Amino acid sequence: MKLRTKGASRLMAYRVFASTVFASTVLASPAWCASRDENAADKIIGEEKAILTDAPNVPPAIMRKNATKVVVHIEVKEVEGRLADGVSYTFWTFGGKVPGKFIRVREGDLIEMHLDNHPDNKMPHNIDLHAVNGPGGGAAASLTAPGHSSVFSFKATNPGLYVYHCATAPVAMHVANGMYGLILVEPKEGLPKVDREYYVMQSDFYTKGPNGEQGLQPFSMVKAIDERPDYVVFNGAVGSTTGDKALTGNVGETMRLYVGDGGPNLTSSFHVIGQIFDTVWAEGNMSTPTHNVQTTMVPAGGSAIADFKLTVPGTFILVDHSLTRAFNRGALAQLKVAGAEDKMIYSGKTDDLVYLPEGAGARVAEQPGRAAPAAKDKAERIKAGEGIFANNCAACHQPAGQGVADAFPPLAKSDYLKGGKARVIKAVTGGLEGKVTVNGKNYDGVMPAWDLPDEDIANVLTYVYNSWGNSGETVTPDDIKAGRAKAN
Amino acid sequence: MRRAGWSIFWGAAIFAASQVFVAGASCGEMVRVPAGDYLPFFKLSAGKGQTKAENRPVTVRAFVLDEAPVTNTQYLDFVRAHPEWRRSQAKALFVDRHYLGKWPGDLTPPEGEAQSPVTNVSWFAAQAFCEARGLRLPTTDEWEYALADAGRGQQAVTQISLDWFSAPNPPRLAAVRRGLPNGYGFYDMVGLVWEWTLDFSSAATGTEQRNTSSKDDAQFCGGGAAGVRDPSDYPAFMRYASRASLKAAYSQDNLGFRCAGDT
Repeated sequence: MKLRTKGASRLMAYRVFASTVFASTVLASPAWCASRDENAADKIIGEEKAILTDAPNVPPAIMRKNATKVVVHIEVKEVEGRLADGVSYTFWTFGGKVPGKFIRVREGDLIEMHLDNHPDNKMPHNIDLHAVNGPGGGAAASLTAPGHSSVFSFKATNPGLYVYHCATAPVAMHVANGMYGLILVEPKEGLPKVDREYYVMQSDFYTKGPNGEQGLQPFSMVKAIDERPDYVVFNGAVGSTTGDKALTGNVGETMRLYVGDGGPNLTSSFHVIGQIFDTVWAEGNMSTPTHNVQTTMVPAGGSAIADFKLTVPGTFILVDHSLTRAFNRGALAQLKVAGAEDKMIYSGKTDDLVYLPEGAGARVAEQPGRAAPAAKDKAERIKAGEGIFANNCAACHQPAGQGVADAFPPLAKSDYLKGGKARVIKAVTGGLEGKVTVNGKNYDGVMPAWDLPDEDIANVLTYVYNSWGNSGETVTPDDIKAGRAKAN
Repeated sequence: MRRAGWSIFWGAAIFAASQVFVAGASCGEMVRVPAGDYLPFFKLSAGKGQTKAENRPVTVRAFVLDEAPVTNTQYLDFVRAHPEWRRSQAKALFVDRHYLGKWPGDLTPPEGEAQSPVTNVSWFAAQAFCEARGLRLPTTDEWEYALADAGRGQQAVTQISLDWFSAPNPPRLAAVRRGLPNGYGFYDMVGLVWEWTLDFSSAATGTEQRNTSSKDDAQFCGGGAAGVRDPSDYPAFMRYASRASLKAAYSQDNLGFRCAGDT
């Protein structure tokens, strides 16, 4: 009885606490929490035609303080365009380009959507806007034959950044051909002000020929079903947003990216190389921004908003951090930032030094536990030594022993080798640091000590002595044993 | 492999050209299709004594079907004999504003397209054309059964369709009978124009593929591709979606027809 009372009062206290917290949250930021019902009931005053933009541009922020009727006309066009250099593709588009037109409305607005299917098109199309509450997101009301137009309207009840796309059967093919875009339902009080806004949308393409095959490439149904894209791109083509088409900004400005992923299949690990996102509205959700994000996941059919301040000049690369897509499939765009350096935030390269590892200071040979097989004669010694040289020495002294000017001394026709085996063995087993003159040239570098079995060192030195015009001597394991540098 | 295909194609084109010359501008041949069962792409129905709707084979009775789409020349003959179907005189109830939109005049087909399929004809006009010949439009089942070709050459059907979807519209439609006929003897079932069917709107996919509206749940349930014969057959989705988007008065640049009859 006593226990139960205690439990009840605890529960009561928790309830009071919870409701207090909730109430204060609501008071602190009422507009973020405008409910779907409130937005649905928002009175519509006036009418306007939507300003629509092609990527990477974004329509201006909405300054209106009331809900209105926004009329949106989107013309579907099937057009041949550039997918990569020398590669063209018949894109199906919302407005003539991939991705489709960016639509910007305000929470509470009534959107009158006109979907116009151009008479030259072959296919019926429709539109599913993820900002719609209704069957098919509007698709059920907008299946449109070529040469016709469908109209429907919806109330923007939920703020957020939403993907729209064609949902006509087979939906994956319509999307694979470029039928997607973004609609921003701005919260009533707007988003924080920034200096620049851009529209970036990732998507995957499946072509009959492999990546790079020239000419008009038909859609590959087989690769699409297997999810094996030939191209993964930003804004509809390889190089759509690089070079003189790169996004631009200036040091000191704040930047916002409206990022979408049209798919049809791949999720993007969206990342800007050399920038940390100060604020991310993950999945385009307006209520819970997160801060200091390196990479944000953008699902197929989803979005994210990323804000960051430009603090240093340079070229910053937008990538899908699933990196072979960026390296080999095209998922790469550029942001060029102009302005003065800030050496405190980023110094650039200030020094170029030799790195000496701590500890033993020795290079541990590969597979140290394995005993090297004993060579029976000079020929076997040279043969074994060749492999050891390739694995351990060639990186610096170069495959033909020519060395690298001013950095690594040559072993070919080397006068250093003529100075006797003893100092050579000592150099290899104990390392060598500081000034050394080889063939009349001075070097001032470091060679680490090599922790290799006597047999291996004998073989590699015999190989070196019998290559590239050197004296042809044989070095034996006994020589190494006798000449090894003593550990210090 | 691809090279061989092209040489066959060109050989066929030359062959077809000579055949057109022989056949002249009169009505094309009709091909008889034997009765048989086939599994529709969409269309769920309950079996005898069952309540669960599923993909079931339907029996198609023997019928005849034009071996190629109706051409502009054939349609010109029709509007000469039936002035009420000329572009300037057709009733707005039966045709939309695109009706015969590529014809410069009432009795002038588009230049260079005499042997190309007539397009921009409404369902009413197409059906009237067929009725004037004592025929009718094929049912969707008949048309799809003719395309299924008893299982022959289905990979080619898929590839020709996908290539056609990916090709921009040519300034002029090609003439009919340029490629090879299928096993029954039909030309240009895919790759040239869409075609009307008698019941184009009845077995439709619904207004969108995933069918979130309850309206046609009986025919096509669930999200995505549930309830279709083969969800990897994208061209079939396209054909059904294209039909679903139509109304009987619509006409399109890429939409023609051929006629069918009972035997």
